[in-house]
Formats: sequence, C-alpha cells, structure tokens
Amino acid sequence: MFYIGISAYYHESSVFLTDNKGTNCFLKEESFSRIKGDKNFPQRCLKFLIKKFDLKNENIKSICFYEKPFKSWWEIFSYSIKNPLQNKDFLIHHLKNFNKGSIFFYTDINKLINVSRDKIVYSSHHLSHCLYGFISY
Amino acid sequence: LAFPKLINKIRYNKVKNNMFLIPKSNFKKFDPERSSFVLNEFAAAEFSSAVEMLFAAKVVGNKKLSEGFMRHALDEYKHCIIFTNIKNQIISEYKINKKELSFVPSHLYNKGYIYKDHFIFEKKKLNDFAIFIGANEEIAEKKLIAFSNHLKNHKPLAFIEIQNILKDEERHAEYSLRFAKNSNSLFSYKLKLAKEKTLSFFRHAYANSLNKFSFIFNPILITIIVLISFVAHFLKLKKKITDEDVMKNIEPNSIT
Repeated sequence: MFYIGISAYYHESSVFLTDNKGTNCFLKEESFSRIKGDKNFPQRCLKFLIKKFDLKNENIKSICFYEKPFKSWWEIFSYSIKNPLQNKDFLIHHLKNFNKGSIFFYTDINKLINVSRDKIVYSSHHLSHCLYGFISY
Repeated sequence: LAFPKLINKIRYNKVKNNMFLIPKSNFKKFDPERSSFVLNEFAAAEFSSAVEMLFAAKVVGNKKLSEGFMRHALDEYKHCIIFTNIKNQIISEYKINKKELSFVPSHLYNKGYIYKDHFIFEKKKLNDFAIFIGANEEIAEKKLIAFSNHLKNHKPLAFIEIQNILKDEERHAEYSLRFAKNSNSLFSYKLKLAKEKTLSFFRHAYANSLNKFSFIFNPILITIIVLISFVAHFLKLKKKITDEDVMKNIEPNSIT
C-alpha cells in the first residue's frame, strides 16, 4: 500500500510516495515541466508515478495534502478584507482565482486517479512543517 | 477638454495591456513601458516554445529530429535571454519600476502559453506539430517585424539583435513547414496550415479580449468585496483559542 504526500498551488509543487518498505520517491513538478518554481498541481509527476507504480484506489492507503485548503483561502481573505480598498487588487485576484486554488484539490486528483474521498487527508500547514522537521531530524 | 483626454487614456491602457498587440498607426512615439511589456511577452513566448521543443526532443524517438528540436530549443532560450536583456536595458535606462514587467516563468501558465496538464507534442501527431510550429513561427515573425521597426530609431543595437532573431525564426518556420510539406499531401498541408493560422488568430483574439471582460467583471467583484467587508466588519469574527493549536484541532478529512 502506498502513501502519497502532495504539496502544490503556492510554490515548488512536489509529490512524495512511500510504501514504508523501502520505496521512497520524491518528485518535483519543475523537473517535468521545466518551469522554475512550478506551482501548479503536480499532474506530470503524478502521471509518472501512476505509470511507474501502477497506482489505483486499491493500492493507495492515503493521499495527504499539506494544508487545509479552505482554511488557508479564508484566512488570507479575512485578513485582507479588513482593509478592502487598500487590498482591492489583491482581493480581486484572490476571488478570481478561487477555482485555481487548493480548494479543488480533490477534483484535480480525481482527474488522474479515482480515489475515494475518505483516503484524502488534509494536514495542517504548520503541522506539516513540524513533521518535516521531525523526519529530517 | 477632459473627455478626449479620458478617451485617449482608456485607449492607451487598452493597447498597453493587450498581448502582442502592436498597432502601427498610433505607435509612432517611443513608449518605454509599452515596449518593455511587449518584450516581456515575446520573452515568455520564446521560453514556452523552448520548453515545448525540449519535451518533443525527449520523446520523439528519432535521433535527427531530436537534435533538430534541441537546436530549436536552444535558439528559443537564446532569444528569450536577448529579449529579457533588451527589456532590462530599457527598464534601467528609463527607471521603470513595475512588477508586471518582470519575467517570471510560472506566469507562462496564466498567460496561456503552456497548458497545465500536457505538452502540445503529447496531443498532436508529428506532422501536425510541425505545421503548428511553422504557422506560429510565421505569425511571430510578422509581429516581431512590426515591433522591431518601432525600435529602429530609438534602440538601433536592439534592432540589430532582433534582426538576427528574425533570421532564426524564418529558418525555424522554413524547416518545419518543409518537413510538413514532405509528410503531408499538398491539399492536407494547406488545409492544416489554414486551420492552425485561424486557431492562432482566435487565440490572440481571446487573449486580447480578456481585458475587456475584466472591464465588466471587476466592478461586480469590487461590489462583492465591499458587501463582504461590510458584513465582516459587523460580525467582528474572533478566532477560537483552539485555532492556534494546530496539534489539537485537526480533522483529517475536513478542508477547514
């Protein structure tokens, strides 16, 4: 069974796959797209992994996204709305790009693999940082 | 007196923001900001073309073609650097400070030069790909000629550099169209070429009309923002103390 961790939509999108038995695979989207700091959903990485490890719903234990999508969208929005005129351009951009953000993570991943909703895990942003620190230590 | 000024301002902004739109009639006076914008667009187009070529070189499965694609990609990277250097010279000379004029690779997706989920070579056959390149190189060449004529009097050195780029573009178009001609029947070749040119025309028309759409949608969005800010002001949303404690407040399947 595979565990997949995904970071995307802000900077350097990447995917990590492990089966806890020695298979560890870390891929950055920019290596496939040749666009430095690529922040899109890592479709090319995932396509590669699907082909390489024959990924499907049955052999995936869980897919973890590194933060809570709506929470992060809302926090930025609620902070900027305090000064709507000053942050007008930013807010327009934020609203316009609602459908391009992490809120549609499940839709994006479902285009590539049909994974059941209960296998998707949304971690907390800061907890992800903590765990990264813990693992690298 | 104010009304014609306002009309001119709107027209100027419309032209300034439009991708690749270089009207010959009202572009006599050198405008450094507008020129920098156009140069940035050309750099982005060249860079995305290089990325597409690089991918084609990887997967084509023919050594000679692969080498050809590699050479094309290297030329495109070189052109991108030349355009960026000219733009940077203009920016530093005229002390322009605008973040829209900086070249950011990840903006290529938003500008529509590269698809998010696939490369063009993945979706097109080799023959169609060659016609696609040939048609687009020809269009880019025409646009670049119009732009270089504008730079001729104000930036003679840049004009010479762009002439070299034009030679490369001409060569690229010639090679790919020759390949397409040899591997397609004449009727099919002409039909596909006309199709690619029409599609390219619509792509540019769509890109240019995006600003017009924002003219309609931005006021609606501003109204929504004002309404939400009004409601948020009266609600005085306070954070819970547990929100701060990321270790305690996690429901794995929730997006909030």
